[in-house]
Amino acid sequence: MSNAPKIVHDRLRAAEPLGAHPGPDVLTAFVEQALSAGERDGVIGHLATCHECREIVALSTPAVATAPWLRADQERIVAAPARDAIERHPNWLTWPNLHWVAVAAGIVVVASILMLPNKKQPNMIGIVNEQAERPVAPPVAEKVPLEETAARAAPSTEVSAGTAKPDESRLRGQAVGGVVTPVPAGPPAPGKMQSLANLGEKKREDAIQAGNVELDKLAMKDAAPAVAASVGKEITAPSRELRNSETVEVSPAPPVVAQAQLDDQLQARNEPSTAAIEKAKAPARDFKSPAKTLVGAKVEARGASSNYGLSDNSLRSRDAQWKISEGSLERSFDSGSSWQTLLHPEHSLLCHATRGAEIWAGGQAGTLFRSLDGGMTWTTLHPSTNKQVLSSDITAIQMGKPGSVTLITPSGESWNTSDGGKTWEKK
Amino acid sequence: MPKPAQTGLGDQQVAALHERCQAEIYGVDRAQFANILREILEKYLPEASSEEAGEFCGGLRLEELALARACAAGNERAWQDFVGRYQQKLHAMALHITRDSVHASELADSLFADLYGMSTRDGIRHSKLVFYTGRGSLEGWLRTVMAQEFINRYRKQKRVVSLDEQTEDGAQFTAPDPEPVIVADPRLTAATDQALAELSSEDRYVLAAYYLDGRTLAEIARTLGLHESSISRRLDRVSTALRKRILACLRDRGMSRAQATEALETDVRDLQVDLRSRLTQESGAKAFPGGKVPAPGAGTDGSHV
Repeated sequence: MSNAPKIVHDRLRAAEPLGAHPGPDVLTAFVEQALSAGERDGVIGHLATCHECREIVALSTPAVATAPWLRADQERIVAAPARDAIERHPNWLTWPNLHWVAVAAGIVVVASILMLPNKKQPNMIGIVNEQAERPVAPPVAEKVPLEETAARAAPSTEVSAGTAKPDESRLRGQAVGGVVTPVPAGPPAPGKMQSLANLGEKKREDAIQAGNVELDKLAMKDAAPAVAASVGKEITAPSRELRNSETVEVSPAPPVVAQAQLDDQLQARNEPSTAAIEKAKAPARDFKSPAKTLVGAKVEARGASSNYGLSDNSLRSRDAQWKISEGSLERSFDSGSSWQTLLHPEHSLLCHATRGAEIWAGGQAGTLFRSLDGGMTWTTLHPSTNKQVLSSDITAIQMGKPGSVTLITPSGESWNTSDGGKTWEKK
Repeated sequence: MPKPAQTGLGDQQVAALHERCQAEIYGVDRAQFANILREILEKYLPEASSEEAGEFCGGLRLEELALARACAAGNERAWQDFVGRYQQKLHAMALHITRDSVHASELADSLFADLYGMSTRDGIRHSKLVFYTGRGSLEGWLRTVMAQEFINRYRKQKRVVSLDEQTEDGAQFTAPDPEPVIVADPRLTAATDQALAELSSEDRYVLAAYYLDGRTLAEIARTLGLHESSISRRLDRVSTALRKRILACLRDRGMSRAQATEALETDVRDLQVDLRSRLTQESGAKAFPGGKVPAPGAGTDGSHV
């Protein structure tokens, strides 16, 4: 606080008292803010020049808490100058104003509670919006449970749907724009399912040329740490990259992976160094969710495309081993020493077939999954012809020429496709 | 011909106010109550219209006014109520003001005697409560009266202090330091007076209470009914504006900017303080470093000044 010049002190001290001393009743009314504006100005003008009256006022001013004029039943504050109305202190602590403060606080609390669940899936929303706006995105967006989609006759082409039964079914799913991400659930084999936000082929190529592929986390219901795996140059923060996310990966993990690995993965996301990236890559292959979490990893192509068949996981998939175990599709990168569950749908898987980075898995009730990128993203297919929908179990999958697949059912039926699952023919 | 505005309260207004404050229970009838209100109106609103008078009287603490006036008139029930309500508070107020239990009891008892009307004039008992007009709370009025009484007593006691008491208090009776004779530039005085006169009365009050009386921001804020931070901001703003305004007034009086700044910043007391500190530093240092005595009229480098 700046000091006034000393000459000001002297001149204030030298000032003669202005007018007669106000009586005790007027001073009392002044202290209690009960004077009219005109009277108040007169009293203040006198007080400014009268040391004795200032002393009386100071001594007769009680603490705020005991001020009788602040009592609700006695408060009668006469109108004060308008310029001081905003600054009036005693009023805002009185009940009428506190009432509104309490109401405002209640609204904030309620709004916070209502908004809390939404905060858990901000990335999902961002991706949904992004996918919806993307002209090259696949046209199909299914948000229905897997068992419903399985009964559908029309085969989905680029994008398929997963289940949306997070708690009841073993196959969890989250609809993300045109992608539904099925997620294996349950204590023994919690995992994550990856969903694919399809890119146009051109964008994929551009992305792989740029070499910037980012892996990020999808915040889903029980969000778990995300793993940043990159074959490119940098790893970016998830919030900044969501809008640009192109592909969502769900990578189920075996239950044996320790929490420490998750921490390492989390740390890797904050360390965009080469070492951190390499550190993040390895756990990404064995990523698991410790608490039935649904974790998606986003692979982002910047500026250019990526044929995901050449992406990191796809490259690794050449060395991967696959098996069906207890109705789940599992993958191993270490010659079978450890396995991670990739698919754990509601209906058990019975068979699988691989060809390079292309993996097909079939199971009960016509359950059929396909991945073109070594298991990073999966598409649910619903084989059907004009007359019939495949609803029986798929016991074998035979892969022939590129794009040609044959499904075998227990009754001996065979369902063939020569265009990667777009159209089917029953024999 | 316009009808002259009616002054004072009408009978109906008086009756309504009398009924509202329940003055009857203290033995104050309507006529007495009307006289009390008329007396108050003559003091504060001598030319008020009926409406203005009604509004003014409606804002008074009529119930407490009736109690006080009934006490002043010697009504027994009123005194019982008054003692029950305010006796404890009076002692608490006195303790708050004096911060000493002995003096507090003395002050409170003295005031109580004045309120009761121990003093008689022409055989009539005079109570201080007759001066209560209901403009503020009776409790606040009592506090103000007590503060006034305390200051009067303090002033009287200060005048009559024995040498023994002063000695006990540590007074040494040495020759007091001579008050510095401040010779300020009359232009500076005039400029300061002009700048102060241009301030609002509330700003001047804040300055005086803070700089002269040494009141805290919280005390000033309570007095004005403002928040402490408002007083702080106002002090800062007023001090800065005041300095600028004084400088401007000095320049209007023919000073250059540098002269005005120097006149404002320089104070005789500051000069003395600086001189003392400088002398102290010089006497504390070695008088003749190097054992050489500089020749009179020569600078430190030996050159003549």
